[in-house]
Parts: sequence; C-alpha cells; structure tokens
Amino acid sequence: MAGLPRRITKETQRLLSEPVQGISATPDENNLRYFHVTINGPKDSPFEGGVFKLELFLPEEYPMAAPKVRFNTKIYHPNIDKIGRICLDILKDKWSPALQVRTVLLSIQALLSAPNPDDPLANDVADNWKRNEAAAIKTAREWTQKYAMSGGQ
Amino acid sequence: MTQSDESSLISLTDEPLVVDLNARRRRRRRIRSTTSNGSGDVIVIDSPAEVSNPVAPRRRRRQRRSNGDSVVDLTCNDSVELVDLTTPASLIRPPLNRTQKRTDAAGLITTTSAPRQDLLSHEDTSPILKLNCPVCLEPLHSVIRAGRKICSTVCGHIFCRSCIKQAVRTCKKCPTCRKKLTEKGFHDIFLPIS
Ligand SMILES: [Zn+2]
Ligand SMILES: [Zn+2]
Repeated sequence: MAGLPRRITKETQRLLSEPVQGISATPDENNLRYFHVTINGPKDSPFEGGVFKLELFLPEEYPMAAPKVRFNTKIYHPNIDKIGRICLDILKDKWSPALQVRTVLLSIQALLSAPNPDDPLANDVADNWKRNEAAAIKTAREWTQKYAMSGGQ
Repeated sequence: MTQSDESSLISLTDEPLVVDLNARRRRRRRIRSTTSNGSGDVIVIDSPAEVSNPVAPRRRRRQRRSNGDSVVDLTCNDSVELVDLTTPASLIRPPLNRTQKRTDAAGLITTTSAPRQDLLSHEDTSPILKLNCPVCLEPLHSVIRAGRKICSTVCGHIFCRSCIKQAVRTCKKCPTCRKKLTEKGFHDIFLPIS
C-alpha cells in the first residue's frame, strides 16, 4: 500500500488549521484515512443544539472515489437511515474528485438544514415527514435531545 | 497511487537541474525573457523594476548593457534550456562548467540589484500559476516545476495532466463542471513559468 497521498495530507492540514464553522474532523491517530467528525445541528433546524458524531473514511481510490461517511449518532432524518447511512448524491453518482472532505461535510450540514423527504433513504421517516411535517420535526427534535446532546450517544 | 509514483519519479530525474536557489531563480528569469521575445532575442532580461521604477531609466539601461557580456552568454544557453522544460527531464542535465557559469551570474545579479530580485520573486508567479489543480491540490507552478504538464479540458477547466487523465478514465466527467469527457476532451496547455 502506498503512503498517504499529498492531497489527503493537505486536506487534513487545512481542516485542522481552518476548521469549518460547526464542523470538526480529526484524523484517527492509527489511520490517517479515517476521520472522527462532529457536525453541530444547524440553527433553526430540528437538530439545533445537537452535536452529531460521524465517521468518514477515505478509500484507497480517493479522490477518484467518494469518501465513505456515516452518522454514528442516531438521528431522525428522512435522508439518513437507522444505521447512519446518508442519502446524498455527491456521495454517490454526483461525486467528483474536485470535491473534498470539507465540501462533503458542508453538504451534510446543509442536508440537516434541508431534509429532502422526496429522495428518502429512511422510508418510514420520509413518509412521516411528508404526511405530518410538524410531528416529524417534533420527533427529530426529541431525538436530537435524546441522542445528540450532552453525552447522549 | 500511480500519480504519486509518477511525480516522485519525475522529480528525481529533475533534481540535478536545481543547482541552488539562485541558479533556479535565474533560470526562470531567463525563460521569461526568452518566451516574451523569442529565443533568438538575447539581450532582454525583462525587468519589472524598469517599468515600475521611474528612476533614471537611461542609466539603468546603460548599466545593463555593461553587463551585456554575461547576459548574452547566459541567454545563449537559453534556447536549450527553454526546450528542456518541455522535454523529458533526462535530456536536461547541463554540463558542469555551464552550471558553474550560471551560479556566477546569479551572484552577480544579486549584488547589483537586490531590490529587483524582490520584485521578481513577487511577480515570479503569475496569478494563474498560483491556482491549484482541483484534484491533487498542487499549485500549478509546482506542477510545472516538477516537469509535469498542465491540461485544459474542452470545457475550459484546468488540471495537471495526470489528474485529468485519471479522472476522465474513472469518472468520464470534468471534475469541475461534470461535463462528459473522453480521453480526447483535454489537451496540454503551455504556461510560461515566468
Ligand atoms: Zn493535479
Ligand atoms: Zn469542466
């Protein structure tokens, strides 16, 4: 296996030196392709006040292939399923090697601000979201409180 | 993976070129003059100071002419050197005595016109060369200095060649605008590295 590509080193340095507001990404000390990520729930979203943990992995083919990202904190969101997988086009067919860890995390943060129940991954959540948005938002807020605040898992 | 292999390989063969910092700067400088005037035109070392510094232009010019010999000498090699940048690094290796000469000249320049050096190093890198390849994130000037090529896609987006080649092969799209691209969808461009 080759050493860490310069691009990953550069991205990591910049992530640490110029962090994105509301996002932290720290490389694992044993595997520099593996990042411990937190995203703060955006203001005016049902996730506000929560700190969501994610894991991000840069596969061998990166940047020709997208990073693999997953929520570790439970979240009630139509585009994120029970095991934390994220339905986001840039992580799949819309990936481009000009995108970066930084842009991916910003997109995920934006997804928290703007859930898209018409392109669901968690079907039951999406159904609820479409049927009764107010109730779904309330549940999302409860989950945020329960799982993403002060020591919650 | 292939990418990093390639670059390390190239920079290895490239190494003998960089004799010392001054020599390198000197070389770049000469290249600027030849590219802007054609390799036949010898005298002109394009000096930004001359443009921006209104002080006694006549004297300055005379001064330079008095240095004429060494300048001519060096730029005579230029046609060779200039080609070097765009040909495989293995052809570059200059004979030792030439290297010596180059270092002397660099020393001469540093002593006679230190402020010009400063100006040069600022202007050295034109804005476009400060851009990064969006894929490997290397500044274009260091890509060129490593002996690698810069490409533009047909949609007008710029990358280093190894990156766009790999991106087109794996994604079949322009990384910047996602336009569909084939292997014919990009071509080398030649940016004078000052
Ligand atoms: Zn590149
Ligand atoms: Zn393009």
